[in-house]
Amino acid sequence: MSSHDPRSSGCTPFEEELINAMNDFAHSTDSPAFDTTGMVHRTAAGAPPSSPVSPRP
Amino acid sequence: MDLAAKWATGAGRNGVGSTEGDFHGFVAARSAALFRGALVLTGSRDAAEDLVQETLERACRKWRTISAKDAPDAYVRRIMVNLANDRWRRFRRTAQHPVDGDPVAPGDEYGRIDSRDQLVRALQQLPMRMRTVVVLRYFHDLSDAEIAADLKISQSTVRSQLARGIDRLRSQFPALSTPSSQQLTEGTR
Repeated sequence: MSSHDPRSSGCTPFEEELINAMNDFAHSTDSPAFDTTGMVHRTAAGAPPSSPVSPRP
Repeated sequence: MDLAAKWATGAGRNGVGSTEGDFHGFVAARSAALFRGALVLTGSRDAAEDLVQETLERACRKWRTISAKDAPDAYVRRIMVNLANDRWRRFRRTAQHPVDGDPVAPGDEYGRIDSRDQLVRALQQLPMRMRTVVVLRYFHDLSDAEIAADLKISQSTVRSQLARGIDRLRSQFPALSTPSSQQLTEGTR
């Protein structure tokens, strides 16, 4: 995907640890199922998103 | 090439019979990867789920346009990271306290058993724009140009945000930052 590959081009031990930390965290829980049928129906009906945007960053 | 890889390159839509089926296929193939990226970006399962849900709803509304692009996956990721930054800006206007989790006390990392957990928590303390740049580089493996395009900022801003983000993180984990690794980083900026 990328022309830049930090994993193989001068990645420091700290950066490698950061990459490992992010990967461990990313795989620490299963992905939920997303209701695509509901999304398509709401989109077709011109309805707003199902849940309001919560101010959680 | 599996389905997820096909969608990442834009080839996944070939052979799909309808726009609706196309969108279902995209979500089936790519929602887990989107969720993992959102999880690293937000540090919270609930916030990540909300972020991906809204991202997919927005993508669904523009799916005919998105699916015609060379790389739908990259386009949807771009929606997600900008949505996360927009949310963060709105949140900062209404709250003046840390999001969640205990703040990481500088200098208190010696002797902690799980430095990776601490690194992820420290990442969450970075300002959202800086955090996004770090995540796009080190988790999504994007180049300066790709990050700049995603966030609509200059490549020099990407480099400065990245350098400052890594410096902030490294300063909290002196045990992980040997003098030789610092020299190596300075040589690659």
